[in-house]
Amino acid sequence: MKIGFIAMSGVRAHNKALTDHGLTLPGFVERSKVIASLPSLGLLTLAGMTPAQVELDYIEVPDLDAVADVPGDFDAVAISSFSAQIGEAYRLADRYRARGTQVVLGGLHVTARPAEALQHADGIVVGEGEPSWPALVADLLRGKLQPVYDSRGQNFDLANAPMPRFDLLDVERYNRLTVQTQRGCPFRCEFCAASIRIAPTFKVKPVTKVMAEIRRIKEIWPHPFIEFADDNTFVNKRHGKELMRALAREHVRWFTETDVSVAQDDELLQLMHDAGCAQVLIGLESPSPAGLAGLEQKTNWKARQRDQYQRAIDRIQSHGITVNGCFILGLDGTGPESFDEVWKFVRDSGLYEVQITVQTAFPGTPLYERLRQEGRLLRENAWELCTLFDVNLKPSGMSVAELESGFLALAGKIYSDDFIKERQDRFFARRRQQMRGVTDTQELTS
Amino acid sequence: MSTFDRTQQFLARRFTLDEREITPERTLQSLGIDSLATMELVFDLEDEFGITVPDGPQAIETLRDLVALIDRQLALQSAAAA
Repeated sequence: MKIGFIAMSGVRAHNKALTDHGLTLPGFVERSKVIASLPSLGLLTLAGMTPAQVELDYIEVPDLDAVADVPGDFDAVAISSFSAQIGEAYRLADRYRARGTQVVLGGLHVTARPAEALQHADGIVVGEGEPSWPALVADLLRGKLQPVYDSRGQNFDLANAPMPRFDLLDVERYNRLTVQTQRGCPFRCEFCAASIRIAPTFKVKPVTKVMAEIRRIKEIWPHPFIEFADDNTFVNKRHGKELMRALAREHVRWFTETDVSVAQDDELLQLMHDAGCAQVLIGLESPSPAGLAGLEQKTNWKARQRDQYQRAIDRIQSHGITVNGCFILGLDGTGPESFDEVWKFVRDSGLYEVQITVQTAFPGTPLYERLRQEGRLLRENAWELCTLFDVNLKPSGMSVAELESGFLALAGKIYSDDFIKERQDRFFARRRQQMRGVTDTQELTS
Repeated sequence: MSTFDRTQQFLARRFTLDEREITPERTLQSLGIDSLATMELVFDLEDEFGITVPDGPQAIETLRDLVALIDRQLALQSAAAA
């Protein structure tokens, strides 16, 4: 038995003006390229719990149109894809099935739209993959693959997480590798299409497990750059500090996503710095209270943090950790004025890096269901627009055309070479002053 | 001990590296030392060598670049003291 683990890896924006513009704005495409070029940790994890008797391979397909035939010669393939590329994943699945190869589909999109996925697969995995995979492989070996493996409600314990098969990767192709330290998130942001959709209960991976994965990566890449594939690494501060203390001994540089609350804990920030943190990505979402209202549906946590945004950025960056502030354009409650609001905030804040995206309704999210009921989806099932750069909904405070043109103009300013350099120079100048012992904020370069 | 040897030993200690992998042509990036870590490393080397590196961007890609920067500052300070 030979199983191919196939990752669809080339998410591309459909908005041609944006794509054309992006070609001249390296900073704009950098982050999306990074995401698109990350290996599929989910598939590597399932490979890690596949019995040794099964031969396996890991393949990435960035552009199906560039593939003449189906890659590899397998008895079965497990295909994983973002929503934006699920159409290509289905076409690839159809090609494999036409050749007699059994196809298994799984992941976030498949969990959100199982009936749709089942039209293109012999078996689908709904929910977390780990609880289902051993039985699925056993069924494959017996020639009795079932159509649906549904693990929802089983709450997989990350203490039992298998070691991902990083050794299947050609590490030369990547500028970072991913490690997961947690799954889920205690917040309930309406738009979020991350792991919360397959793991409704927030849980952490034991630090010893995380460190074992990092040491395994170091066996194939001695000085790696790690991206934690988490939704909010430091939402559990105790686990975060334990992780940092262990990580400090490994000499790796890393990046992760978290929220502004890390800025309230100087001990944690120092531990993060000492453990090699290069950057944290924080979903600031909007500088406008109207844009933040109701994002988490009930708690309104981010709206209550708004007044602390500037102080949080200053404090995190004062520890030598760069902040990548993320903003969403087209949020309900915001209109054309939001482009200027984001621009002014970014310009004045001292953020080292910025990521802007458009509000996107992903399948399986409360946002998608609400907008569908309100008749505000541009087209149902238009998954190819789920790139974070294409508009797939009618904004509440502006037209689609205004959102597209305003986003493009804002991207042009934020990702201009001059402004990128200005942001980076400002960060390094402040950091140099801090390290030279200039602590009076009046003396720091503004 | 040469500037290179001293820098090599310093890096090995600071980043828990094997001295044999710290060669003149090796890029700092390949040792897991990115631009931000390089900036902090330069501050540590100022203390180690008793030098002050001028503010502003420094073109430091390899260990050879780093050693050249240190030697340049040592020479400038010697000349100033003479």
